[in-house]
Amino acid sequence: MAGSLSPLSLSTNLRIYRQTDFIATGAADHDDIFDSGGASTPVLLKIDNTANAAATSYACFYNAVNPTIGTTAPDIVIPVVGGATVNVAIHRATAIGTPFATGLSIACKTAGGTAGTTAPTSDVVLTAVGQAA
Amino acid sequence: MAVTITPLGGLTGVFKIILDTDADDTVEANVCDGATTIYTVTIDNSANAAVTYLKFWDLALSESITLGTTVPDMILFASASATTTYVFKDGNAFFTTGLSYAAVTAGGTAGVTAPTSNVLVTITAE
Repeated sequence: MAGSLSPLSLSTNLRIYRQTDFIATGAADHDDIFDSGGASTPVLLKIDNTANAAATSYACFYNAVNPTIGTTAPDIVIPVVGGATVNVAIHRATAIGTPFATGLSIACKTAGGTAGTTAPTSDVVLTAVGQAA
Repeated sequence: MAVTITPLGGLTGVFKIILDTDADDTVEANVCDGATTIYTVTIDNSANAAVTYLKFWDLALSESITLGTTVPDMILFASASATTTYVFKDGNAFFTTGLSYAAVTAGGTAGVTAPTSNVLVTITAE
């Protein structure tokens, strides 16, 4: 568990979240990652799976606070092959990001879809830029 | 279901634009004919007042996919009444068997209901 949240100076609502131990067990620092207490908008995601040379990791994003990993349906799932890093930018025609009305919580596991509660063997690092709104 | 696949750089081009003018609960299978690296996915959900989920499987045969049961490998969320684009810088080379997808109204593994109105999906890939 090593999550950190930094506000950007350009806007108090724009934040960088970095998780150096992105896991599957619903740790407290994986919930409401932009600390918004409500709506959150992910804009940029960097998922670094280089430490898992031969295993795909699935980065899961939930429009929920305190989701039950393995039971709550994830809203976004991004697979990252072993030894790779995936960078994703999200935007709408009229705005940045895609809005999660309830909150943005995360988990990283070894299976796609809803089921699965097993964390990757080695640390996956997530860097997320988004708005706490 | 109206999928158009346009190779870039002539007929031998490896880069493709896949345009689906009505992505729905019918699985579109192996649209890139084998291993695929995805660069962008645009989901035009502007005709729907509800959210849409575009689900992808690394499977080549539609018979291999039971919507609502077969675990999707990638899920992209599209806001209601909006067009959402996902840009994969340097691509995502996860799909080594085949790129198949469907659009439904629920996230996660479950969900078999198609969006009410047409959802337009544009994928650039190689």
